[in-house]
Amino acid sequence: MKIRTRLQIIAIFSLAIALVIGLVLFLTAQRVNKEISGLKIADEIAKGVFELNIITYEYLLHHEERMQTQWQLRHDSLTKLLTGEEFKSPERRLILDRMHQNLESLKALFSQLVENYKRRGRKESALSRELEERLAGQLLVKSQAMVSDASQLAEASRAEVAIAQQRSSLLVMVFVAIMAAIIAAVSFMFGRSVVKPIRKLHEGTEIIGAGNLDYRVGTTAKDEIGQLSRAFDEMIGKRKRAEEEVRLLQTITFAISETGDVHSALKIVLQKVCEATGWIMGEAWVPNSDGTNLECSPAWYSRVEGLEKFRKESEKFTFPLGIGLPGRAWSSKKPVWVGNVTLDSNFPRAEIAKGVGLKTAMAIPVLIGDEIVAVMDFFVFEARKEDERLLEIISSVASQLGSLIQRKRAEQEVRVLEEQLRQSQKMEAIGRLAGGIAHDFNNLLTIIKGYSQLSFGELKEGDPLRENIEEIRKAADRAADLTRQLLAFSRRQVMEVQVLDLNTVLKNLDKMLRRMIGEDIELTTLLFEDLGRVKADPGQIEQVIMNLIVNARDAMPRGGKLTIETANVELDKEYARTHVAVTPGPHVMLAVSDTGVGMTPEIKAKIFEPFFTTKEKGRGTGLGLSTVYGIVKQSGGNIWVYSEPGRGTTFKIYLPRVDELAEELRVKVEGPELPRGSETILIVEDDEKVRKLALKILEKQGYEVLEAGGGNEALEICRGLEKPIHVVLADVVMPGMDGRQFAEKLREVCQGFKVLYMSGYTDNTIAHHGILDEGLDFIQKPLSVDGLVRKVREVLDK
Amino acid sequence: MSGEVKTKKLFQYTYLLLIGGVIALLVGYFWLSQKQQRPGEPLEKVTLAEPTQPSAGPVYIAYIKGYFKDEGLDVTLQPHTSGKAALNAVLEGKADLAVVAETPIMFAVMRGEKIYAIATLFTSEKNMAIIARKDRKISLPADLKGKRIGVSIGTNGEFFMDALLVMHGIPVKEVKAVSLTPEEMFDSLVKGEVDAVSTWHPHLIRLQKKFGERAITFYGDGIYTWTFNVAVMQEFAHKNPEVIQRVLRTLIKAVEFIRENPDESRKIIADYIRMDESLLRELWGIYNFGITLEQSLLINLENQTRWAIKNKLTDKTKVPNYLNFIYLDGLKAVKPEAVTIIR
Ligand SMILES: Nc1ncnc2c1ncn2[C@@H]1O[C@H](COP(=O)(O)OP(=O)(O)OP(=O)(O)O)[C@@H](O)[C@H]1O
Ligand SMILES: [Mg+2]
Repeated sequence: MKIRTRLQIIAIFSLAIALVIGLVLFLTAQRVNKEISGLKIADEIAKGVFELNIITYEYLLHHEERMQTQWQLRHDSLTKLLTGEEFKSPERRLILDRMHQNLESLKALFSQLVENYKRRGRKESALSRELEERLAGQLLVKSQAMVSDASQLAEASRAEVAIAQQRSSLLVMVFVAIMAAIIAAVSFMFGRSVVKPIRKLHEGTEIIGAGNLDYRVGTTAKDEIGQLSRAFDEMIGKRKRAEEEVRLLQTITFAISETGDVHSALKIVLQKVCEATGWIMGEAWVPNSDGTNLECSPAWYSRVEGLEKFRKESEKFTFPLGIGLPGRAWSSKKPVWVGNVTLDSNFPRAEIAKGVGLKTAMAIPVLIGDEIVAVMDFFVFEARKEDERLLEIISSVASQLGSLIQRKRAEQEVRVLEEQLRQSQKMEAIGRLAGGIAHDFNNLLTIIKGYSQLSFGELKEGDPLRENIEEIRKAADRAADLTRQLLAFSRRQVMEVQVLDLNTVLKNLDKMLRRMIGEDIELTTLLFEDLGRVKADPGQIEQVIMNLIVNARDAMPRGGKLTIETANVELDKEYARTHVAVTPGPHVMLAVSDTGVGMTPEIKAKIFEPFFTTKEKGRGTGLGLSTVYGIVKQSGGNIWVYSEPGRGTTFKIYLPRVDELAEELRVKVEGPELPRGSETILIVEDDEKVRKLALKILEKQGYEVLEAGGGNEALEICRGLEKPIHVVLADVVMPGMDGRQFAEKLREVCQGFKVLYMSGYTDNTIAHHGILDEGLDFIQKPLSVDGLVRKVREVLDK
Repeated sequence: MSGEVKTKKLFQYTYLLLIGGVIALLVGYFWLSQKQQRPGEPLEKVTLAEPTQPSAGPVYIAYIKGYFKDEGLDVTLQPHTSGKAALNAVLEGKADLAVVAETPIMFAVMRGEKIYAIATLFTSEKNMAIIARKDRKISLPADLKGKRIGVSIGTNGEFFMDALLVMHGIPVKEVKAVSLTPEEMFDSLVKGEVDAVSTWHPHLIRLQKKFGERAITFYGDGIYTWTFNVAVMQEFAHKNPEVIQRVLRTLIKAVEFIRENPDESRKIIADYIRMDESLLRELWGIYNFGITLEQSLLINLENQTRWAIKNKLTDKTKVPNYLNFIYLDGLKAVKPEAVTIIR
């Protein structure tokens, strides 16, 4: 019973007793009052009799009317008193009756007295005197009788009062005794059910205060103290659990921070949780690469032997969202408790679990924000009721784990970014170096190519030297190719940028590509409908595609699948954050995937470097991917490679999408004859050999050619010249003055000429970031006879 | 747990009942006390003729203290030189009430006036005495035999003298009664024109002071009790029983005040009747203020009546039934225990 209820019962009891006592006292008072009024009446009667005597006395003295009236009045009021209802008991009634009779005889006597006086008048006779005396005596006797009766009445009342008081005090005493008994009982009860438990509780607080969180007061009482004790126990229990939880969290946190990857962190958590909670087995599930399913993590832990079979079987499972225990935790993002897995309809492994005797399971998701990182499952052999507290603890462990993984990921990201940055810086340096070499190379090659071509033309057909010269020319061509590739890598190639549809480019190339890859390889092109446009040099893009295809082919010597894919993609901020040099926004993706040998991370790190190759000597130059890299970068794009040894490789290129319509691909149609002309051409070139070569080539085609070794010389020539100059063929890079500045100076001296720039590589004088300024004509070194002659004619004919 | 709820309810009801009871008691008490005050009623106009003597003290106190107003009475005090004059004012219809000694009442009744004594408000057994010069060989009442005694004929002074002489076995004829007005008493005794005088205060005390040890005072040992009473016309009482009750209530309150604050009361009384306060203080001990109707009043009146008949102070020969001239109902309603007249 509750203390409150007990107190209420006591209060009701006390109230009842107080009421009874009150009632007893009230009744007694009533009784006493009645008796007192009886006493008063008795007194009044005595007084009345006395007063009658006084008046009688007065009458005897004066015999006046007033005395008669007063006597009569007093007699009447006395009679009224005597006939009153106050006395009910028979004995008192008897006394009253007697008094009444006496009163009546008093009246009779007094009347006789009055009669006697009236009869005698003022004259006194002895007889009347005697009668008067007799009557007076009689009156006194009767009065005396009445007075003694009245005192008897009073005595009776007094006795009644005494009895009533005695009775009431007895009753009051009895009830007071009962009350005292109750109070004693209550204090005893309190001692037992309040003081003792409170003392116990107090002891408990001291024990617990001393650090023993295992102590429990353990009361079964249902009263408030019982409640208090239980609340206390519960609080201590909670505190203990909280401490355990903190300890568990600490060990886990420490352990995870020591590990490198998610799986080993998961393994530690599984083990620690099992050890701390007594659960038998823990396993973990992680999302697969495309995030569609949960697959078995290598991390698992079992406290007993014999669960390997379950483990083995489990490894074969994957769970989509909402399916199985991991799938449920994944979809709800909350812990899931299954009381008996063998009876659960959404537990695909029920049969295996039954085989090894696992019953209760719980699954706790590991989340980073809303993203699922893993789901941890735990099992026990016996059926258990849902333990919210346990779920809470493990959930907080899981969230700890989640944030740890998140931190690791962030660290990883930073590392990757740093690596990317270093890589791109390296590429930049190599590129600059290569560019410098290529410049000088080009001039040399121009000369070799030019003179071998010229010599070739001068030798008769069938001359054995002709064949030699032909070989020289071919070698020079290959060298020029290499140089061009190097230039491309160093992003010094002059781009002729155009708005392109990559799908069109791919379609145009399709035939050639198929020819290149051979029959062992299956080529699939997945072209995105409605693909966005990009701004790039179509020739360069072709180069990129060809290089990637050739590499893929080389990676699949025994055949395989090659996929070319285009798509519109949106590179978001997140992507930009985790990848160096990416501007977020709409992009067009070009992906080339193969199922070839793949690459180790070490190889992957170097593939974009010029001259890096794994191929045997003579087969690969190691410039293919360097060229690709340079072109993509020069076009404002990015290239990423995904590869695993034995699995294959995917190259993904992202180029910024533009909103313009694609232009017609400019196809140059070259005639069989070299065009001729007679216009005046001024060649400005500091390299004498190149200058002479160009002079020879152009003169041969009928042009009048002037030459100058530098800008000033050229100006001089122009000043002294009468006839107009039609074309100025100028090197972009000259000592003292660049081509552009020179052209402007020259225009001050004479007008009406066109400028054709030539260069081994670009710089900012004519092209910004490799893109030729609008309206400029340009010819790439090394010069070929064909190229030069045609370009000059083209410029003249514009 | 419905049991718990029930006990809870029971408790609530008990508390409510208790609180309700207390509130009811308080409301009832206030209602009743409110009822007694009777606010807003117009004041009853009453004229009270008074004798300008300390014996009418309660009247002055009630007037000064505003007790009449409290009872809803607008009382005008009408001063007179004596109680007799005050009673005459009532008989002539100039006043409604009079404060008067019992003797004028007796004479009025004997003359057939229809009056009522409604209450006694003052009694004293030592307000009247015979003071005698010792140099006239008077040291005991018996020595008065054959002496010249100054007395105001037809007043209670004469009644007292007769009674005292009878008490000491001296026939009235054996003394020489000299008729004097109350004012002449002092000079006559001082000059020695009389050997003793039967008189009352303040003449008595003045003589006592004058003579000191040279005079002796005989008080009469209870043979006479001087009373002052409130008298009204019978008709007035029958028409205004309520007014009479209110007057009595007021006087009772005044007497209580006197009993509790004798010093202040003396000051109020002395101020009102322009009397020396020190003198009043000396006399204070012999005064009894109290609103009563006692059997002794009846006997007193009858005794004086018989004396008056005997001395031919009236032409009537029969003692009237004074019960018919005492109005019992008023005081019975206000303070029944103060009525000791047997009935
Ligand atoms: N698709 C691929 N699969 C596997 N390895 C590749 C793939 N593409 C490139 N590689 C690796 O990258 C290296 C560099 O390639 P790169 O194209 O730059 O040079 P190469 O192919 O060896 O020579 P080149 O292209 O000049 O003939 C290759 O040697 C090869 O090891
Ligand atoms: Mg290659």
